[in-house]
Amino acid sequence: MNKITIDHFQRMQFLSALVLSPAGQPAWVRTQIENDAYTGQLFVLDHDQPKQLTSGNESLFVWDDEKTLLFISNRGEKPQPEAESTTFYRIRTDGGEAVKVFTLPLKVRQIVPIKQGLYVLTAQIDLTAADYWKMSEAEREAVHRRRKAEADYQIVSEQPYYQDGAGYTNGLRSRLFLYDEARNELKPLCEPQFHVSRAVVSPDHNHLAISGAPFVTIRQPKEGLYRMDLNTLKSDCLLEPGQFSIAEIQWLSETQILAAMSDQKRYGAVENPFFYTLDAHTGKRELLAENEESLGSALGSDCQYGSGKQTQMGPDGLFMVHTLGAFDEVRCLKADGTWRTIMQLDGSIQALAVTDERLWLIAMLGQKLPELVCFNLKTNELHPMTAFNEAVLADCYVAEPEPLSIPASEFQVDGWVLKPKDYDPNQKYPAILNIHGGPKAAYGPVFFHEMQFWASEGYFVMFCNPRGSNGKGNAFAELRGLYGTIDYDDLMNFTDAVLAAYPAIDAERIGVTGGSYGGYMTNWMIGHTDRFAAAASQRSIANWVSLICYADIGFTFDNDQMGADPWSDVQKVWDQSPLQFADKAKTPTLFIHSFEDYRCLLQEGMQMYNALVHHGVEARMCLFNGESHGLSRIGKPSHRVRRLQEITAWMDRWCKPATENKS
Amino acid sequence: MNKVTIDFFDQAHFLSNLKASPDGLRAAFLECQCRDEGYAKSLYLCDGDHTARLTSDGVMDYVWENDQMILFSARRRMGQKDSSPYGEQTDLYRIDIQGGEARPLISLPLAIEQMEKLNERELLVTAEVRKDCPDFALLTEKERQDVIDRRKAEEDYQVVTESPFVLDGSGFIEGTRSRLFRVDLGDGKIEALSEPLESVSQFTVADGRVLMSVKKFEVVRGEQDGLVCLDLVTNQRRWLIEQGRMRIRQIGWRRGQAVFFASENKTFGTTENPKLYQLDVETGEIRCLLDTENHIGSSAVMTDVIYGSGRQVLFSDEAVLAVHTDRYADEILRIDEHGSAAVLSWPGAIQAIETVNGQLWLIGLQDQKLQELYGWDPATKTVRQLTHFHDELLAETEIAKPEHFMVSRGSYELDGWILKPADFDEKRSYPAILDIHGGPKTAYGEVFFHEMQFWAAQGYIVFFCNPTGSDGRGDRFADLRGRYGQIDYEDLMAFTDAVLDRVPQIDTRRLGVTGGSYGGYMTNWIIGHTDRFSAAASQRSIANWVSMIGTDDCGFTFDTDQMDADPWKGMLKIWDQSPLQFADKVKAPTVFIHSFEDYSCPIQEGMQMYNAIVHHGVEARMCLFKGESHGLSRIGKRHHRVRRLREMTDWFDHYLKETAHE
Repeated sequence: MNKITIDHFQRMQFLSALVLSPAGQPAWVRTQIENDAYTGQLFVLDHDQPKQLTSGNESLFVWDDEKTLLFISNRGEKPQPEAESTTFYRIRTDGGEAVKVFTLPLKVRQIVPIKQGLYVLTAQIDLTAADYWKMSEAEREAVHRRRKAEADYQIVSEQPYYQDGAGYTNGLRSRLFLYDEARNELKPLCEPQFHVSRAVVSPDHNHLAISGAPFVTIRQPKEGLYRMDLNTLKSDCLLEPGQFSIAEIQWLSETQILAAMSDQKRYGAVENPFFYTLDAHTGKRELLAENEESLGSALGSDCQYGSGKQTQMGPDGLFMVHTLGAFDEVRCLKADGTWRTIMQLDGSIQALAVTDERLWLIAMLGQKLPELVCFNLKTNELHPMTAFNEAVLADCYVAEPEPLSIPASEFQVDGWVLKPKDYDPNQKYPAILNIHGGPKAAYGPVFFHEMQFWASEGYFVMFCNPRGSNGKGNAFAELRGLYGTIDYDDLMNFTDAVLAAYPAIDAERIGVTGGSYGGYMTNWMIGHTDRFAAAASQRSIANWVSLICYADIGFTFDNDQMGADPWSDVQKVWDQSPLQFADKAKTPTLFIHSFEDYRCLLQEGMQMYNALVHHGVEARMCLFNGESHGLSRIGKPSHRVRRLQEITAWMDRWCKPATENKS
Repeated sequence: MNKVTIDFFDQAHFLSNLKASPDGLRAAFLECQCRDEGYAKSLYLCDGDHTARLTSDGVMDYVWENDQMILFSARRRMGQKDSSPYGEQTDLYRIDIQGGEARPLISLPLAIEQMEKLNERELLVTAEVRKDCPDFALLTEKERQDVIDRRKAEEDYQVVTESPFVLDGSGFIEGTRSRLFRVDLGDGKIEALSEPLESVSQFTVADGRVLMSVKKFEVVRGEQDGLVCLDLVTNQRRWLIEQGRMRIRQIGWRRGQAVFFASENKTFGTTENPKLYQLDVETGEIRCLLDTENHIGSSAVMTDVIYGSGRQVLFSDEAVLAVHTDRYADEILRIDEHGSAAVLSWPGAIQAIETVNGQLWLIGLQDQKLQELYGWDPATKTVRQLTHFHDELLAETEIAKPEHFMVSRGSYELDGWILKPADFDEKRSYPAILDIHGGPKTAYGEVFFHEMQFWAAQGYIVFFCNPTGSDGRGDRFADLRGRYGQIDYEDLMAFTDAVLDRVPQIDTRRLGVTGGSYGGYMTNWIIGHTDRFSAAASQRSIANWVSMIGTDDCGFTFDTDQMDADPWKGMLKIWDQSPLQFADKVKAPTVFIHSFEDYSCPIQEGMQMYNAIVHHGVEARMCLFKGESHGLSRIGKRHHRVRRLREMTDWFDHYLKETAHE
């Protein structure tokens, strides 16, 4: 048996953006890692075999007709950073190369096909040149010159003004356009200030349901819902902004819209949505189904890239992925408000697409990597359709997660343990406690590269879903104002239970790590217990007072989670901040942080690091240029390797016997 | 007559690094101008009667080799970056002051910071080395290339193991040390004289003995140096003052004894003014030559039209000459065992002093002029202006004169000034701007200040003062520890009241407030405590001292000292001095100016205040500058400095100018 290596993920292929043709043929994007970068190619399923269509770097496509895909790609020309431009190509699924069809003066982010040759496009516009799309070449050149001259400055006049992963977003909006290919005509469908989140076309292609809201300074997280007539281009507001956070919209019929949304009154910013119907003409709203559960999969893994739709209208209602405990299932909400479970999966689902007979999924089954699978709705049979990653884990030691749950008040906290490679019950082993982010996310028994790597390196790895995690409903996920209390207790009790169940673990040689909320909790732990021999705090939070005031979601998520803000109750915010307990810490701690992390800013790691050093604790930071909060999942491959190297070397230094270190 | 324009500083010549020739007959200095590509420095020579340019630009530093020759370090092409940011290199040139172009002398594998002549053949230099390879200069060409390759492979990562690991103006200083080397200019032989983990802050050499202030550390880079004497003949090395006792400033030799300015920081904390000590190297006996609570050893008077400075202390066997700020003007003090006395009072600011030909020369500002070189003749007790870089420019420019007045605050009086537009019309009504200096331990004086002159030229009345916490009036006055936002705020408000009383032409509804650093802190504080200002421009500001302590370059030395608390002993005391707490009370429209590479007051401070007031419905804007540090307004790129002033002036014009409301 071979080890899972530190760069094993570089051999993996990732699937995303699953979309079916009108007749139900699946197409998707396959991402692979080449030359230290990610590239995506279009695939279709042809006679039940995956067929690669393109060989460039693609991520966005739609079906034009049964045999044709329209997609966006950057081929040939080097993109000019000051320009706004998107080039579209067509390729036939039955043979032939891609053909360039048109180039639009827009940064297109989403395509909604109305019919062949007519598309609703979501494009990112810049309010300082909102008319760029209709300018003459000379006017555009002037805009480019101005942008170049402004390159040294960042003007900020909005909130938020940056967004993790997207950088500075001040003055940017998502705007809807209608493009008529035959006439080569581009029409904006909304005002420049209006920021569009979603646009969904009605079954007979006459209407568009739009969620979004206009804003000048502060972006409103509770958006409005609008219906547009695609013939007259007139729109009506069905739901005013400021009432609901809208998670999903779909057309139930030509006259009825289904919306998953939450007023956030019971559980705040992370509340799971209820399902409502809205009359497409009057906006009359009715509650179709209450819901306490997650919408979409909550299960994390570091072996995914890109995303896909996790809800779609199916044969008798809205099909959706949701996480039940630590497994994903597909369920269907019928028009009468009742639920039906379609299937349960031993694994996690990244995307779904459905026809009358078949349910297509991109899923990670058992300890496998993502593949396309097909579930027959008539026979209830599940068939893997691709084997992109079959060879990647062959002959490797893949630890089977062994479940271990503990009671926590009226709940149960689910956890798992990975045994080290070549496990010998008579030996003593170091261990790593891994804590997920969110906190409203969840671990499941799915393949996790970093954990499998540590198991191959001779560590026990333990991980669980403490209170605050997703997958067990609103009440379980509720942590507002309670950070560092019940969640900390759950993690400590889980650690105790693992130690009791696995006497081979050396209690003196346990490390703790986690990113984001997991980094917050790592910082919290080292200030509250000395049981860990080492800590690796990734993209962490130290001080919620500063975080609220500079994070991209400071005034929409962070203050909500604290149950206070710096003006209503600074003590409450401070009492949930790990920085307060830095003077108690003794654990040697490594900090991993990215310079362009706008979710948990670099300055959070810095505050904790400096505080530890000030109090005489051994510490180290490794900071990453050009990376965001997503370093461990979507970072440059060589950076991902370095991150894992840093963490592992730190754990090895403090948790492995000295003799082993030298080898 | 021309008005002072937004880019007036373009036409200023900034003077620095005044050094006399060994025979004392003349002096050289650096002249610098702000260009789009950067600051262009060249070497000038002055013999008292004539001033002449010696080199083209690109000069970094220089030493007199002998009476005839000057050795200088240079980047000969402006804007040129280091050939490799991963290596270490300085090019030395030699120029004959009698004529002829400079000739390349030697290229050294050292990032030289400070250099001094040791003898006819050798230099002593400090150079920045990195912990990963402190012996870079001692390696072979091939080994150096390996180090460069290794550093290149690490360029995406910044590993941190020290604290503080950033320094404003230098960026990440993790793993860097200033190491002392002896360089043979003949054969290029380099010898390291200090240990790899030591950082040499300053050194001076006399009679084969090096005196240096040294910081040795593995993790925590403290504030306090030790004092070391290194005998280059016997190679003996002694700690004269153990590290950790004092914060050591200027050091020198006098009659074979070590002389140094240092503060123990026991009474007034990290900003305590130094005293002058003399230490017998043989016996270790220390005596205090000057016991003072006043600012000494440099000028505390601020302006935005200088770039670099020079020696402000001269050590000689007879006496120590030192610049000293008294309230808001400078003096040169002569100090020996019999006491101290002012030899020259200077109604302005002094950036460098030197003794030349029996006279005392200085680079300074006075009388609303830009920098010039001046000579003071002790025999006639007269001052002569030796250079005339700006005579013509100033003759044709309308320059406003600050009016000094004092405001009584019970037990003390404040020095304040009003700058009216040169064409001030008593019958008109004017908008006004309160300008607050940084520090807080610095001082405004009666010297040319470009931003203020520009605003006066734009029709604003500008007023400014030295509130409690300012420099120039002794340690007690400067002591603001644990009471930020209290007495200083009250002083500024009382001063504003007094200005409004004195100048009825000021429209009280059209007041603006601005300041940078501590001045930005105070701007943030003011908008949370009063609505009397209709607009604010908060530059490189502080919002939240808790995050400041954990993120800036002096959090656990200066910040905790100034707060008189740390987050574990008195979080609420820190919070009570943080403007962020009062962001929910703010109404004044505020523009924030901040640089991405500000490690003194990190950009996240401006961001916190911005987000907080926007969240509370206040009109706000930020203009963030790439590639700039805390020093944007003084040493920033030319077009960035213009943009900064443009942003603030547009903001004030929008909210304070009458036309804006009509």
